[in-house]
Amino acid sequence: MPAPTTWVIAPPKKTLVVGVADMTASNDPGAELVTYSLGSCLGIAIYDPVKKAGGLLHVMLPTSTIDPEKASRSPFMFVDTGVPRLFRAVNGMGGESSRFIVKVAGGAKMMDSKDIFSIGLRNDQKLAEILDRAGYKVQVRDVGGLSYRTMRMSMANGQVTIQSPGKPPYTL
Amino acid sequence: MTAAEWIAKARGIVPSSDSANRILGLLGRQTVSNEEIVKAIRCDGVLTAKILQVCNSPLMGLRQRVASVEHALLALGHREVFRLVMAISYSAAMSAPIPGFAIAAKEFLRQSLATAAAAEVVMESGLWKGEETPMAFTAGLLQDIGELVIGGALTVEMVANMRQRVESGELSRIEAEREVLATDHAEVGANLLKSWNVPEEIVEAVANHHNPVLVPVTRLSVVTHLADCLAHLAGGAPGWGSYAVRVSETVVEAMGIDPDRLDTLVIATRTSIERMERFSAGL
Repeated sequence: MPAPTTWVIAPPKKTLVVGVADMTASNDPGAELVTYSLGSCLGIAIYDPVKKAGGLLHVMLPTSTIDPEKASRSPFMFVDTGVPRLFRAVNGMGGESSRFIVKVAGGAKMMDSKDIFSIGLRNDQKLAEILDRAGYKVQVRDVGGLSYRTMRMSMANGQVTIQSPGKPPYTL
Repeated sequence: MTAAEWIAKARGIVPSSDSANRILGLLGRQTVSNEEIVKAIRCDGVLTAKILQVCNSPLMGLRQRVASVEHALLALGHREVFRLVMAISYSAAMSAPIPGFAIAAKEFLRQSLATAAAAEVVMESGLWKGEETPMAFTAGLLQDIGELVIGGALTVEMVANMRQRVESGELSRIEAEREVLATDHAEVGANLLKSWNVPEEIVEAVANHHNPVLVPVTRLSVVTHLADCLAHLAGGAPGWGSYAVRVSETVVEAMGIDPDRLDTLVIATRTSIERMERFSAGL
């Protein structure tokens, strides 16, 4: 039997990448969830600090009614079908809803005087509506702006870091 | 500096191959035979080898091994082979990082392919009445090529000046380029493509993709403008201030785009981008 590895430096983190219109949940304190290319899309992170369980969702559009068939195949594309699934997935890993810390980033905005192309804004409004109905509030948010973001969540402590092009990462 | 001076300063941007231009010309025609396409591709040994390499990559999901250009055309069809030719022709230059815009290696290629995919969605949506899908795909792919030229040669002061203007919400990124540099990536890109003898329709689409032309006749720049916006919403755009893009009200009105129509286009663009990402992984 091989000898167990002894790390003289910190062991590597297990990085779980969340794609566009995708979601990942974990209760592995050694893991990190990351989503790239958050433009007008929203990254929604929830975390239960007691169970060290959490999830990260990358949604593109506010409502699934625009294409129910697409929503059935790709529910994480939409805020209204993605968010309930995110909560259920973390509940399924032992997360307790009353302890969830909710953090949100993304929603970059193009320069559109009529706001038709402001999908980030519509995503944010739909999320607020859904969370409000379920009695939740977003604790911390970094929404809007003119650049895309990379969002990471450490499963060890729920810390979320954001990075935009040409800027150092910061803790949300 | 003028657009021509920026181009002269840029190094390492390889012009498109003659074979790519020849194939682009063939596919812009109403009718074209397989033999003509095969002949144009075969003239370029490197292109032929690369096409076969990508076709045989597991990500393409083809059951049979592709051993010839003829076989690739039969297995994938004209359009997919055309996409491959264009992506292969420009992938080396577009894979480089662009420090001036804080765009990492490969990000620019990914975004360019996403815009090309979005241009096809616009063509198929019925919003555009022309029959120039290959032209639109190529225009989408190349529309920001001027960023490669400018972004590689910007000084720290130029970047700081432009960022300050964009981040204050005062100007779009292209407007900031024009104010600080006295030119912009659209003008530089169009000049570069002109010097490579790329068809005039594509040069127009690149030159005007932030200022699309609807009168006296609607030009291909309308498609590239919409494709640019859709790719931002469905795929994410790299670089600082990349969302500081002014959406043309005139185009939105003329095309009758409302939030529902837009969301449908974004979904179709996402599907098209995912297909593109599968094949570009083999590049």
